Amino acid sequence: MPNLAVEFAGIKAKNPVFTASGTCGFGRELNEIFPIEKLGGMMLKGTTLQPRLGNPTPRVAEAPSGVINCVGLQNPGLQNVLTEQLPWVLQHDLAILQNIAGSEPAEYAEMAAALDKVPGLAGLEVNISCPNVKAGGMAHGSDPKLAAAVVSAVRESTKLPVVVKLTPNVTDVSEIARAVEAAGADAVSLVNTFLAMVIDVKRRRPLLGNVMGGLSGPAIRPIAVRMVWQVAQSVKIPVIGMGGIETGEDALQFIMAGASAVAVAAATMINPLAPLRIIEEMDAWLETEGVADINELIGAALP
Amino acid sequence: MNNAIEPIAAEVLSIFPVADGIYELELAAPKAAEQARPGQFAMLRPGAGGKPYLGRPMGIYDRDLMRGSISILFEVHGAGTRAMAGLHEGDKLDLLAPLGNGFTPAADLRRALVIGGGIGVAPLYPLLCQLKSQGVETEIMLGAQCGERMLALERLVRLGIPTRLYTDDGTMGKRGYLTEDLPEVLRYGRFEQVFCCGPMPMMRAVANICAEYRTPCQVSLEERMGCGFGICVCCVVDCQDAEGNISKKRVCYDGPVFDSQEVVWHA
Repeated sequence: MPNLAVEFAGIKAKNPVFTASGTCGFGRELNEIFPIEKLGGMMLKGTTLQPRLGNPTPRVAEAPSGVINCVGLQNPGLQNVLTEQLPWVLQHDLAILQNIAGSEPAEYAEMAAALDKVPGLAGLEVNISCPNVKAGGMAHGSDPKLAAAVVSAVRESTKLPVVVKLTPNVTDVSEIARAVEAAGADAVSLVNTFLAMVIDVKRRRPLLGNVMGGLSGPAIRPIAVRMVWQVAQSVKIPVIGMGGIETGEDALQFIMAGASAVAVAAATMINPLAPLRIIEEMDAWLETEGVADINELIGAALP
Repeated sequence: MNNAIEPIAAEVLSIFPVADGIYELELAAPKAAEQARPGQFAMLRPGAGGKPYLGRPMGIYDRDLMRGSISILFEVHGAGTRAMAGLHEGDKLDLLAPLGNGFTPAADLRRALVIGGGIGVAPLYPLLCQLKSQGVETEIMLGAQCGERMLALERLVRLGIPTRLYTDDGTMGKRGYLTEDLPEVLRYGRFEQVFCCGPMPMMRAVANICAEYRTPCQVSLEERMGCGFGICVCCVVDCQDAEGNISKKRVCYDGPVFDSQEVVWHA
């Protein structure tokens, strides 16, 4: 049996497969389908200080080999997450990262401070990359100075591992990665979705309720692999890779590009068991190739 | 694991047109057939080569425990349903079922009115079977564009439940919308509960009339769906509680059946 356990930024996981924020809620729905403890971990739904209703519908559209969404961070708010969601999900043996989003650095800091006291939480994922909200979100992640300001504020408010989720909607993702590393990030996760849109030609109008949305799924995989490969060479902190992973070999591409762990998103939407299949396929691949430890493959394709 | 749903590659047992652009599809899915409750739905993904990418939600229309199958009705609207129409006996497609919460008739329900519009009759048929076996006195109001698109008639005739038919063009039953007669039906029918599935404008009208006549009404809603099991929060509908607090509930996981009073009916 090959070793699949990984450790990065002080976060231990029994395998490198996580479910990405926004495609696993707070764990309850998936746990009705399979025991979530089989996962390496979960990035829980992006949470804001106050509850958010999110964007108008339609919030989802079909794309070639993918999906475009504009949910807009609908979430029950930090208080509910602290009292209702985390106590439940933290009873389970997997690495739980809470994704947080805010409209200014002080909001991120307030949430980070509140979450710092939660026992058992593995870390924070700082969302500076949501394409579907007006204030904050991607705006923070597109400017190295703003990104660093958010990360510094979070860093000063918590001892938890801080993972910063990056947007691909920038000219040079490595520049942002270096900025958040300098500001105290323990790891980066990438990519969030690509800004996209669909026109409903019958109505002669944008199809989505929020006009634009974020594209995910296999359509973006090669771009995501490229970005992970670039970022892994630009920073010393660990990288978590995501973007259209559907199979064990897809996941291995990200790991060989330098990712210490991966997250599955759109694939879970079309098959809730996809993350488990990806774990099994990685395990089988390692076995067949005679690789004893997944950690030997991290960055194997880097120059 | 309170409702272990398992994705399967379901074999097409039969597929045939029942009206212009509308098909009945029977899939081998023994577990889903066994577990499905009236008003639940299935996510179907016909595509080879990842086209379409997402599943399509379809109300479960019928089940056959002997054949271990479930059936659905679908109308060709876009690329996903067009691909489904091209399926043949023996083909396989990804199926996730049964999903969502179905209709919930009270155990002591005595008189029910079931209202269907167009293809919305599909998830109502299993409900009608249940109401009949529970001994609930039931009546049906069914509307369609035209007689040819009046679906499920053979099954309904076999159930022998009194049915009023309406078509937009008068080619079957009464000409006009069933909602024109609904106030009178509710006034004299002594119905304790209405169940409804159909186009949004029809459900909105039915909900308003039921509210006026103080008759509880359960509606089965539709919205563009991502996952079908609650994780992506795409298929939301505006709801309000007794205090008027607005929330957005997921059609797939919190529904698809809602109490009509809970739904905020946008014009």
